[in-house]
Amino acid sequence: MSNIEKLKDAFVEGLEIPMEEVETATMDSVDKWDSIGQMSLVAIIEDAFEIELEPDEVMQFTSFEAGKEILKNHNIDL
Amino acid sequence: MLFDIDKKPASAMAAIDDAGGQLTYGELVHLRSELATILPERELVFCLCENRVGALGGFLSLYDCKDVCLLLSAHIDKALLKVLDETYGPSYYWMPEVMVEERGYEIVYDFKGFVLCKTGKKAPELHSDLSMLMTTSGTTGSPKLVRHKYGNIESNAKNVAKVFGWTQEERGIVDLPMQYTMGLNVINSHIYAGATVLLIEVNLMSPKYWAFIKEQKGSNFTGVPFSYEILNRLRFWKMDLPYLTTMAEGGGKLSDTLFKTFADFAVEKDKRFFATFGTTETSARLAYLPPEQATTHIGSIGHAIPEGQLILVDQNGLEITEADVEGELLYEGPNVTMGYGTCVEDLAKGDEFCGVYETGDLAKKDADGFFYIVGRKKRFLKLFGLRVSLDQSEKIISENFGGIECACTGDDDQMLIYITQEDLKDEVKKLISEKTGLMAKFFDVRVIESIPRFESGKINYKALGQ
Repeated sequence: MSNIEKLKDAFVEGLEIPMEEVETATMDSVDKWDSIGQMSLVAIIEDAFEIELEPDEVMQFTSFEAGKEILKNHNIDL
Repeated sequence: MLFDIDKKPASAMAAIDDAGGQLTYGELVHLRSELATILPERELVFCLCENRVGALGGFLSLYDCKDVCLLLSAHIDKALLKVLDETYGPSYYWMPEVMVEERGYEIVYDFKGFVLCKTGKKAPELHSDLSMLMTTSGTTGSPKLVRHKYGNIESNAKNVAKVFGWTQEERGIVDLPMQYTMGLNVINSHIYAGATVLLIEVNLMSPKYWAFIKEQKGSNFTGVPFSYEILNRLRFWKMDLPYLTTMAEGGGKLSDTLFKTFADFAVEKDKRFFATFGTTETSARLAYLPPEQATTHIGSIGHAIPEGQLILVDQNGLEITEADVEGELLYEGPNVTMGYGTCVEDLAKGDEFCGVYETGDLAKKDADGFFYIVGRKKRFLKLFGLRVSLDQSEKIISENFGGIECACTGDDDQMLIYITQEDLKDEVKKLISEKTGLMAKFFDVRVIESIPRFESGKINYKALGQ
């Protein structure tokens, strides 16, 4: 599975949204993306990519796009 | 006046919220006197709350004017609000100004983004001791109310302020909702002390949250187990928060691992970690573990707060005095409320608890006199610290699908929902997730042939677990 697929799967699983909504997902657009959703999402992503996000990164993980940028900082090619 | 608000310096800040709102003790005194001239005593007011200075000012003033408030979330499920409105028939609402239009009431008074509205209904009969109402259920929001009496929140605020040693210098971070018993207790114990509360709506995972508490020099934090899960996930110990000196936990049992992590962290960073225990029925806190005992009594709820007493009883109701013997935990103290309410007639009832509350929790006491919760007699779960009633969940599911058979059990990690119709599996999961506002992964829907029952017709929950 490619990294981008892994990331998309994490969104589907973590936020319980359909695949077609993943790319446009933001904290404001997804109902379930509250703190519980955020935690669940971050936990899945950390496990999937075997990385540990910094406090600031966890907090800035507020959209699919932002997530891509954060992963790039961890040298993950998307 | 309530909490001697009128004796605090008028210019001292009682509350600051993360939308820029500010409320001084002087403004509280003024608001109270204004509302006293507008509103007769003993009105029934639904307070639709947000962690905003306007919501807090309204509640404290209405309380002190001897009107009875039911605290609800401003974001409450519309259908549930309708049920509550029809059940109790409030004569007034205190709510965010932006909500007036949808409800179409006449505005009587406005204050910092909140308004007092008249519904046109006459207040129901309210018992003279009835001081306020709160809902028991964090998430399923069953219309079951807890009837508080005068003296409940006053004594709990005083005793909790004493436990923590709050002074007027304290700046308490309140992101727990004010309509939630522990959130309100954090607020009240600070107001009692003449301190400042920092009311927060944005969530712990937001950079705005941390910017706000840094800028406002938040000095203590109170969280439910879920808050601590988040802090753990955020690698909280990496943050530089020199003003934050006290961390308190309550509203559910922290895992022993997290308990130890935070107890150790507090020792290392010279902060205080307080594990506390409370229920809505006891106007929040009833026990606490002194911070110096935290690392040596992992998982303990400590002992009773001042003026309170914890008692363990066996199945025959006899007191257990030996150490390490399990029994049901009872609490006796001035913060024990009067009882429940499920219909408007109940609001006229007097004290049914009579100062003693059976927590429904099974506990034991160690040789040092510290209590530990070991299980639960009552039918509810705490999913991430939010109380979810199993009976109410069953009712919601059954009613939404034409009276289907349904049984709910589980533990604090996940609710197990048993139904008999395969085709409803996904819909049931979706419904209960929506109604509780919790992720669907907290619910495991299982299809079985039939729901096991005793001859009496009651569900045999033990048989479900097999």
